[in-house]
Amino acid sequence: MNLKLVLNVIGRILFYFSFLFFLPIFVALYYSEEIYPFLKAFFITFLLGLALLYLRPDVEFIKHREALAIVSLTWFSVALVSSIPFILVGFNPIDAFFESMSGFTTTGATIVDNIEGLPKSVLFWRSFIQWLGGMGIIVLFLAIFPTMAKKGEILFFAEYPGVTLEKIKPRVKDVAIILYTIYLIYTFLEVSILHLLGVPIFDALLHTFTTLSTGGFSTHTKSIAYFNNPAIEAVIIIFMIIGGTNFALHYYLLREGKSPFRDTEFKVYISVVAIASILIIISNLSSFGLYDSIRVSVFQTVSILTTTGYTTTDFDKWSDFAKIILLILMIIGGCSGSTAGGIKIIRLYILLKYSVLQILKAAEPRIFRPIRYGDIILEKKIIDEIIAFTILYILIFIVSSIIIVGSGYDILTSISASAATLGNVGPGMGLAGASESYSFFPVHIKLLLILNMWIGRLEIFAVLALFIPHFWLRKW
Amino acid sequence: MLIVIAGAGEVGYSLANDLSADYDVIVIEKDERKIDELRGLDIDVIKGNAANPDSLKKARVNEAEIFIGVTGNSEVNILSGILAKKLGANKVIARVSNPEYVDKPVIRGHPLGIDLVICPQLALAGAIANLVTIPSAIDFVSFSGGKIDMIEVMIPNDSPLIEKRISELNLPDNVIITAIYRNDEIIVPRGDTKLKAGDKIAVVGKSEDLSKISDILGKRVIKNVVIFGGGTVGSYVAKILDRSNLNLKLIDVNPAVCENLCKILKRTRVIIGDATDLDFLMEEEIGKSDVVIATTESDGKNLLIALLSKSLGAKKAIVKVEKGSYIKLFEKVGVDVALSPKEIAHLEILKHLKLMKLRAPTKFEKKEIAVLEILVEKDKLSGKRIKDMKLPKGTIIGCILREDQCLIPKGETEIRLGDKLLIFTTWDNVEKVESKFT
Repeated sequence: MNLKLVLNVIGRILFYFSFLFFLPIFVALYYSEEIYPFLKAFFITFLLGLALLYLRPDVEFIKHREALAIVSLTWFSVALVSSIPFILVGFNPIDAFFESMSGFTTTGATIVDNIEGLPKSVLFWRSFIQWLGGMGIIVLFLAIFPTMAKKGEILFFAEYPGVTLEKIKPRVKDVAIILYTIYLIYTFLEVSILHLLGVPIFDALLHTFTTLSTGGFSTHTKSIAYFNNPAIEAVIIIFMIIGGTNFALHYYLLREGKSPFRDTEFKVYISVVAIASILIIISNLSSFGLYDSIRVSVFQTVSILTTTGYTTTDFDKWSDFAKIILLILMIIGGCSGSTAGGIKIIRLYILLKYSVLQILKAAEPRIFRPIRYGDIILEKKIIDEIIAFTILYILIFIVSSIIIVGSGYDILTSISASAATLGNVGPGMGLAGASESYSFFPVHIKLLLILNMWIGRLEIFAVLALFIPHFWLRKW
Repeated sequence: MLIVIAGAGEVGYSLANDLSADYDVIVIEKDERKIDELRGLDIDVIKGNAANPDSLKKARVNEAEIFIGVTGNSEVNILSGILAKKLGANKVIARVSNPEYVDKPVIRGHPLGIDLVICPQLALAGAIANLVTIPSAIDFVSFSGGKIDMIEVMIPNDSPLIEKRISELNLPDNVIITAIYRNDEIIVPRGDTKLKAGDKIAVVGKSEDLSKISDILGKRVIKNVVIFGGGTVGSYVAKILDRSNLNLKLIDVNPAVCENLCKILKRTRVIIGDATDLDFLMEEEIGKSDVVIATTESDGKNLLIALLSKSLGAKKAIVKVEKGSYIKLFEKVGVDVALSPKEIAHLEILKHLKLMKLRAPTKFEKKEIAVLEILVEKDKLSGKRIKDMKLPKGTIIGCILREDQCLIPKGETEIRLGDKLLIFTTWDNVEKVESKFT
């Protein structure tokens, strides 16, 4: 493991990243707030980046191993330095790191009890990092800095979520630029529409940041319930669905007018939204009228499935039936190649096909049946990855839940907190529920949840590889 | 004495060439072009398929002392060997290239009745494995059916042995430095001879004892070994080295080959990749290898692999060549050792012919020196002291194999009947030396 090289690249990223702190500084200046937290954060990050850049590696060749380490450690470092402003504003370090990691991984779980009490610059930073994390940091760098493109492909796919069956463009740099362009277009659209509906620009911007990234941080403690406006809720639902869709489909839609419904995963995605919504609507009829039930159920279904995490009511008060469906949705997640988390629809779809095929095979063992996704026949390699991913996901979920229960919490809280952080959803249930924050958890649980968020966003392998000694130590 | 050879390929041709000087040689070959090439040799040629009893009868196999089956086809070699034996040949040798028929490089007394079965690929793999485990070794030869080995070692510039006297080296018992090739000259080493950088020394001894000299030769530890090509030779080398504690990598471009090999090899890392892809070589850190072994099917590819790897920093490159004429060429352009299975087959066969006075044209420094294995059978020689032997200049009796012991010959040493002498001499002196013992 060429540690110097890994640290050098991370240094380069931190160096450029530090300049992003000027954005909240401008916000602070505009609203006449303290700029020191962000200024100090800038200096620390800048100097740290510079220091790491001084490590000149002997070999500049980035091997697969190093690319993986670069991606996972970049995310860790960036989350770390982003917590500096939070600390300087008064958060305790673990809480600051929690909020920061929750931001970048677009989880949206918060330890802040009174969100409105935070300075606007801090609110800005909190939401902005979700916007960055949604599309990816490595992707951003690949789009802007051509020199990183040398081993760009490996870095890109280590960060980019989901099962990649085909690339939009041959060169990863081009793909990165396209992704960010689409992202910016939708950002502009949502801000405009929200503003037209009466949301002040600042609020509109920050909510757009966290809608498209399916992050879920709000500037209001009551989340979207604050607006109490069905039109706004409808717009947000649409943009959450957009965020949770494979961006390749956006590309084909915007550029060539091709309907996303041609894609199997998208069809399944929408079907899941529809079916789950209907089930929850029916379940909620016992407490809400028809219209209200539709309004809150659809919103919450989409919010949870896309792993955004906005709320319009306290869904913790819903029936157990509704809650278990939501729990399942947390684990399912959105589409691959989107900003959503979870196991991802395509993986579960493929696994389901695979399993049904095994049933058929038991009946007719001699027939050759390849597993297809649309027109593409899936290689064994892809199936292997999906199976391993799913098993690891479930394993981590179980271990995490056991640890939380073991620390004295009830099953619902433990399971939902694990699912919500691993799936980058945000609000859990029970004590970690929608109307609460995560602040009450002890330090070790917060650290566990931070780990979950990190693992979930980077889709497990890149992070877990760091914990295998062989990964670091193998000499040749 | 009659020798019948089936097959006039590279090995058949060179055997016919070597043996025709002293024996009657008849070659059976079915390819017209190969028959053409045999004109000019002092031999008789029968056109036909060696597995056909008719051809064998025409070649007077019933009178043959030795029948050697070296066609391109293992099955024909085996068949013709069995037939030849049945028809009256005294001793029968068959070359088998297919490793599925054999599991050792050399089989004596095969159940089918063949006296000697040689698999050159496996023999080559064995030779490569030997070269790997001893640092600085650049050639390796076996004598007396494997009882005695000779290793040619080059003294590198950073060797701890430089300026050391031969007597100061802590050589194990029964291991002798028999010759030093320095500045194009062969030097007879004495106790006070000092070793210099660039010297190529011939070390002779019993196989078990020779492996001990790797400690003496210097601390250049061989740790990282990569084998390119998972074919017969590559996989066999891997199997041999898999038991050692080297860091072994085996690279092949074919996924099915890789899958099969990773089931058999326990410690070796089997990797799929194209050896000519520079990015891949860098990803696998080939530059950090101590030894690179190129055994793909293509000679050209092997050369490329060797040179690429060395340019990235690999220390030693061993290459398999099918075409014997490439050996010198490859070694000239930077390959450390080039070995040919055909040449190995040739040498093995000659060695095993076990006839007195038969030249075993082992190359020390590639044809500068002839190494002769001579059995002392003349009564007159019994009891004679070495210093009284009056051997031509530049001739060294490297070692005396007596009753399984390898003795260092001194001036006072007396030769006895039954001794096998390993004599190093120049090619011009071969006749004179041989005449001493006839």
